[in-house]
Amino acid sequence: MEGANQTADPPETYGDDLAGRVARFFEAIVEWAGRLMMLVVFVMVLLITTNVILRYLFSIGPVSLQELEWHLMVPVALIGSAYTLRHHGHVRVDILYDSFSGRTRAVVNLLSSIGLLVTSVLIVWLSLNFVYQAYAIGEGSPDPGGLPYRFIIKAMIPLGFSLLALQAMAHIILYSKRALGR
Amino acid sequence: MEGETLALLMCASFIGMLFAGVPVAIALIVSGFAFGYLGFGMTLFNLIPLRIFGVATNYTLLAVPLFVFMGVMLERSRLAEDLLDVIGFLCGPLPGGMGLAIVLVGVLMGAATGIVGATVVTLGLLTLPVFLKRNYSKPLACGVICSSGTLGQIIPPSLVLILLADIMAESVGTIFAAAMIPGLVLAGIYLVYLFVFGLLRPDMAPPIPKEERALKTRGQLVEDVFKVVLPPIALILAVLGSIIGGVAAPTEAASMGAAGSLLIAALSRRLDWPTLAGTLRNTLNISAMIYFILIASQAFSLAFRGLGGDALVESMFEAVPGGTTGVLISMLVILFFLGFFLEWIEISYIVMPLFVPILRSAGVDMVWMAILVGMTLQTTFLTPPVGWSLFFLKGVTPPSIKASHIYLGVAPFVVLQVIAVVLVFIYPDIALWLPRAIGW
Repeated sequence: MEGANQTADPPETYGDDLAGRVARFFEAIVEWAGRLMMLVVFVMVLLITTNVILRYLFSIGPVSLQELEWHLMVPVALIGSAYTLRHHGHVRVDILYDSFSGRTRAVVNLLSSIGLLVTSVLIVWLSLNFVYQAYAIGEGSPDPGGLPYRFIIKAMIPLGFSLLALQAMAHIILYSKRALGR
Repeated sequence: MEGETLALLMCASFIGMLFAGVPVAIALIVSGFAFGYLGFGMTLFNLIPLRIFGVATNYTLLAVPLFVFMGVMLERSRLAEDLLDVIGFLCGPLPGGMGLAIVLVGVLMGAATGIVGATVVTLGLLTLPVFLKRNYSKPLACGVICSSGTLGQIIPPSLVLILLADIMAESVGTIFAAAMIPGLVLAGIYLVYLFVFGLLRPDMAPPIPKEERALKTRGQLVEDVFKVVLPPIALILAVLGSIIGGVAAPTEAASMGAAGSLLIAALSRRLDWPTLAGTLRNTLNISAMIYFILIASQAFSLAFRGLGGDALVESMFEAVPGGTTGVLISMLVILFFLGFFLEWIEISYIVMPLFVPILRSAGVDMVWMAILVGMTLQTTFLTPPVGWSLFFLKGVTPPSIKASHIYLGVAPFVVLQVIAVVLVFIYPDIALWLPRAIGW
């Protein structure tokens, strides 16, 4: 999956005008969120390993630690998606794309960024109620000893898609400049 | 407009976007939302947050980042590279020896990572220069790298098998056990082919010269075997054994694999900050890429089902002659062609759920079917013009290798693949014997 979408696109030049600065600011947010997620991945690997060792060697398996495993996965998956988008890691079919001119590629990327922005905003909007309901009923783990405040973990959906929307906006600025030949 | 017409248009627009070069996940989510909205308005998508939450909290899928971590760690700490070197020397004097070595390493690495991209890219970067230096024919070298790198799809533990187990509602251990012998049969067919090729055309697959082998003493070789070959192999066997033996759930075993790769890298003094940071970065990128496709496919499948697309597929299959066998064969053929341009993840999560209920109610053995599907999907990775492995390799080859070398090189391996699928189809016991023998 790596290497599939490495294409010889020019380096990212946002320029120093207002739009370029806004785009760089959005990307900086996504970048830092992603770096935080790299740390979370490491904590998750160590946590799951620790849980397995505790269970098999000492027969200890606190529900809260078990639940924490997927509580960490949710932000990694959702916030990580924006980070992967920022680094162009989402796989694409490049048989035709490879033969496109730089400008045609910019148009393709511009249109897909617009599509992603619209759908991301829709999903943020749709998921707010989902999070609010969990908050309103004080939803927690149904299991004794489980983790409370499930709305926090559900809030990763609007948060992740907000970051995707930010990154999509940064790409819209980048690719519209490139499509216009600037 | 009729729902089913919209469903067809949705598929057409998805494929159109895909070929225009829109990232797979974005093509899925945009076409799903656009046509779902045309058919139902926004109400259809009230379920979307719950579906997304379901994917992100799935316990089995938690194995994905862990296996990715293990694979990337072995790759980035250069353990995989050294493994290759030593095995190459061990196989040195045999005709086609290097090729045999690559297949063996492909099997091991594929088993360790289950990530085709990582394996093909690594094998390509590390071995292609060696192949060319040893005057192997270019198509043969490319064919060997692509096909052995792709073996990881079918040899457990593999992500494909984990997802298929989830879709077929079978235990991952059973599916892993069932895939074991077909995977080894396939590797065996590759080895025999290369060996015969080396005997018949030694000019195209020359062995490592005697003088060079003489430079490395037996003692050094034995030491290397202990230092770089045995630890990763022990790790893989431990992970595999604990899953197949039913001791640990795949996610638990995967975590042991991840921690084990960390430990091996640390013990061999290959673990430094850049390696760890790079491993975490790649793990995040690859895992998020997979999860985002799964999440995006929720919007697509929600719309597809809502618009009656599954009824459409079902009615198409009622027209297929030959009863259950006919449906099964035509399903494999459809998967094969879909695999030309879809990622296996979408095929697994969008197309498979349409077939599974039909074939399950017809009494088809789901474990057998999972293996047939897995092998068919694996074949599509190798099939020109659109095979993922071919793209991965092409991304890392020197300019002297043309796409035509790669296409020509994989052709015989595609034939070997098809032979293997037909074998499992005619003799289901190749897949079903092992799970039965260990009591599932």
